[in-house]
Amino acid sequence: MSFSAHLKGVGVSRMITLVLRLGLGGMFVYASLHKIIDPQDFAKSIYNYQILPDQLINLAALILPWLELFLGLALIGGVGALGAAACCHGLLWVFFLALVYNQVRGLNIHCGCFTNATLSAEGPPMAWYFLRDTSLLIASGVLLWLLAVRNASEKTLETS
Amino acid sequence: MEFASIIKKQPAMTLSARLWQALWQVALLLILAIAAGLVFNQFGPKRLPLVADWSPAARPKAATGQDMVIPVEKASEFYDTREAVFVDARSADLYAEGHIAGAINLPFEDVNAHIGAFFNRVPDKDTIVITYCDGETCSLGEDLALLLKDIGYTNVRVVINGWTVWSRRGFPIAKGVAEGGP
Repeated sequence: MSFSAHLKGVGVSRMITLVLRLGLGGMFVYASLHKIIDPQDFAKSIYNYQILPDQLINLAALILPWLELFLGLALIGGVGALGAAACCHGLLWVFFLALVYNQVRGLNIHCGCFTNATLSAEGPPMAWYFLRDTSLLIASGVLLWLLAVRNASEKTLETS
Repeated sequence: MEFASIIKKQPAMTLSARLWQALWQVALLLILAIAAGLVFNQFGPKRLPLVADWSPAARPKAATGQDMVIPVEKASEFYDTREAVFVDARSADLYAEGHIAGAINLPFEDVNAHIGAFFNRVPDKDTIVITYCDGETCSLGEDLALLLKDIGYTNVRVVINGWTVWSRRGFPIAKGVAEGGP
């Protein structure tokens, strides 16, 4: 690979990293704000997932939004971005698996009730949640790979 | 100075070093989040108890200070004496599959669209209103009860897991869509 082509490759990789960092970071910050303002409402959402024991619901509702805020800010600011990307990816896996688990056992996450009826009339359709969570999972996975492996190997290549 | 020599000044990190770096960053972010969450909760506008009783009976009590849950047998007595209006908080589909005979369908998920019709059917705010959903963990019945109480109904009660416990006891049930829609 010529030196200019190598530089071009590095540039594209860095650009994708930047876009993913800002996009995911912005989304995490945005998602955290209303939960921070109304933790009771968020606690109710956590309860409706019927996964955490009751004793942990309020604690999760108080801490998780702040974690999302700091993760978002870290990604946007590029400070501790590797750890933030890893944590985002882990969190998104948790959200995704919680969604799958409840879909499989037939629990409506909008009300915390088990039902066989179609959920389309009650809140956004589940397909939308799956599409959203899958996209975010992929985006955060790519970002994590870029930050942890690709950019690291670039430096290794460059210094060799 | 050549470009390559500038880059060489940055030592490359091994994958394991980056893993440790990431772990430290995650730990730091977690500590920050725990601290911020607890401090903001202590001094913020909407304080939440760190541990709360999320049982179906405790939730409406925590919100109103009043025990709004009624046993199904007591609800059945009100049904027999025709003193109470029963309100099904589930969707129209589930209502059609089976509901307490004579119950009004007021789907909580779409409550704004149907609350006007409910006012017309139950104009007396002192009427005993008994809401229900299905399943121990379903919160629609309580949510609806709290809403009705907020908007002025003075005698609102909830039967936890209402549809299941009512139908299992062989109390009167019906099927089909609500008259005039939910």
